[in-house]
Amino acid sequence: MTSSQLNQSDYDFNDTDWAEPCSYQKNHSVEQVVGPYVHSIICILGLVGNGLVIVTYAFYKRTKSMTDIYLLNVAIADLLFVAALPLIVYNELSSWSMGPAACKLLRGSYSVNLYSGMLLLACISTDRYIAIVQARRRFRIRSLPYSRLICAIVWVFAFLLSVPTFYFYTWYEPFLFGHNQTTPHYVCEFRFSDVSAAWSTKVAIPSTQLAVGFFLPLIIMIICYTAIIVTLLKARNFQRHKAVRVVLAVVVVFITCHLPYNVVLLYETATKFHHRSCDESDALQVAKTVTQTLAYLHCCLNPVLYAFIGVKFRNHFRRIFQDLWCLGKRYIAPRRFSRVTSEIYISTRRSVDGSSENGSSFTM
Amino acid sequence: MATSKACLVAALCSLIIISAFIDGTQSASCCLRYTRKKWTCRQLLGYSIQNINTSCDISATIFHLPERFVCADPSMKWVQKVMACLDERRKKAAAVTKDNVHSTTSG
Repeated sequence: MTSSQLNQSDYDFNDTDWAEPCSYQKNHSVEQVVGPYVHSIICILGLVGNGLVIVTYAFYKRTKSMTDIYLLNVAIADLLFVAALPLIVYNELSSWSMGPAACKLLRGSYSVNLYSGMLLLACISTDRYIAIVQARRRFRIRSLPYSRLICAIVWVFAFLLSVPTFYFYTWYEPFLFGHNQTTPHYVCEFRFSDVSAAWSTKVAIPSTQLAVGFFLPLIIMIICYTAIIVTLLKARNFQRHKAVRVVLAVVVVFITCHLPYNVVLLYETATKFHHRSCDESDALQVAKTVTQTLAYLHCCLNPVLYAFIGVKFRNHFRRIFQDLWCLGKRYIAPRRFSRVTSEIYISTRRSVDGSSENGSSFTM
Repeated sequence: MATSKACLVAALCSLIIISAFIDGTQSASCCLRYTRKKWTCRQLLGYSIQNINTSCDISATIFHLPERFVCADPSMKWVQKVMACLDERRKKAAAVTKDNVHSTTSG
C-alpha cells in the first residue's frame, strides 16, 4: 500500500489542524451513569407516584370535577412516559436490540406523552383560573363532557405533533470509523431521504417542541397563576397564604425542571449547522443529557404537586391504606380508627377555601 | 412499607445487574469542522462521505489515514481533486486485482 512508503513526518502537524470526527467521549461516560442509574430511580418514583394517583381515581374517587379529569390524564401521560423510559435507555445501551418497530413506537410515544403532559398542565392552570378568578361567571366549559372533550383534543393534538417524529426516526446501521464490525450495531435516529428535508426537519422538530412543548404552556401558566395569586391576595381568607405558596411551588418546580433543558435545546437548535470544536460539542451534549434528566424528574413531582397536595385527594388516598390495613388485619383497634377519622375531619375543615364551594378540587 | 422498600431495592439491584451486561455505547462519530491543512493523494488511503441526512449536521469528506481520520470541506477545490485522485487509484487497483484473478484462473 502507498502508506507504507510514507514517513512519519508526513503526518506531523498541530493538533488543532486534525479536525477528526468527534466521538463525544464525555457525553458517553455521563450517559453510562445517568442512563441506567438515575433514570431507573426516576422510573420507579414515577411509576409509584402516578400509579397511586390512577389507582386512587379508579377505585375511590370517581372523577367528579373537571380538574379530576385533567389530573387523571396528566398521571396517565406521566406513567406512560416513565414506563417507556427504561425501554429507551435499555435500547440505547444495547444498540437498539428490540428492532425497528420498537424504535418508532418508543420515540413516538415519548413525543406524544411529552406534548400531552405539558399541554394538560396548561389546561389545569386555565381551569383553576376560571374557577378562582372568574368564579362569579358560570362557564359551560367547566362541565364534565367539555373537559373530556378538551382532554381528547389535547391527546389528538399531541399525536399529530408527534407524526414527524414517528415518521423520521429510523432504525439503521450507521457507518462507524475504525471499528471492526463483528456484530452489527444499530441506532434509532433521524434519517432523511434528501438534504432539503434534513435541513428543514432537523430545525422544525425541536422548534415545535420548544414552542408547543415548553413556551406555550409556560406562558399560559404564568398568565393564569399570576391572575390567581392576585385574586387570592385580594381575598380575605386565612388559607390564602398556603394557596399562594402551592401555586408558586407549581410554577417554580415547572420552571426549574424544564427551563435548563429548553435553554440548551434552544441553543443547540439555533446553532444546529454551525461548525464547532469537538470539546464544545461534547460539552453541549453533556449539558443536554443532564438537563434532560432534570426535565424527566418533573414526571415524578407532578403527583405530589397536583394530586397529593389536595386534602380531598389525600383523604381518598388514605382510605386505600385503611382498607388495605383492614384486609391485612381483620380487626381494627377502635382507638386508632377514631384518630384517623378525626384527622380527616380536621383536614376537611381545613380544606374550605374560596374555590372549593365552586366545585373545583383546588383544595390545599 | 417494609415490603415496598424491599421491592425498591430489588428493582434497583436488577437494573444495575442488567446494565452491567450491556456493552458500552458506541454511536456514529461526526465531523464538526474541517481541516486547515491541505492533504495530498499519496498521503491518504481512501475517503468516505458524511451528509446531513442522518445524525450528523454538516456535510464532510472524511479522509482515511493509517489509523486516523480527518475531516475536509467537500466544497474545496483541493478536496475534490484528492477525491478524484483516490477514485482513480481505486479503479486502477481494482483493475489490477481483476487481471490477477483472471490470469490465475486462466493460467
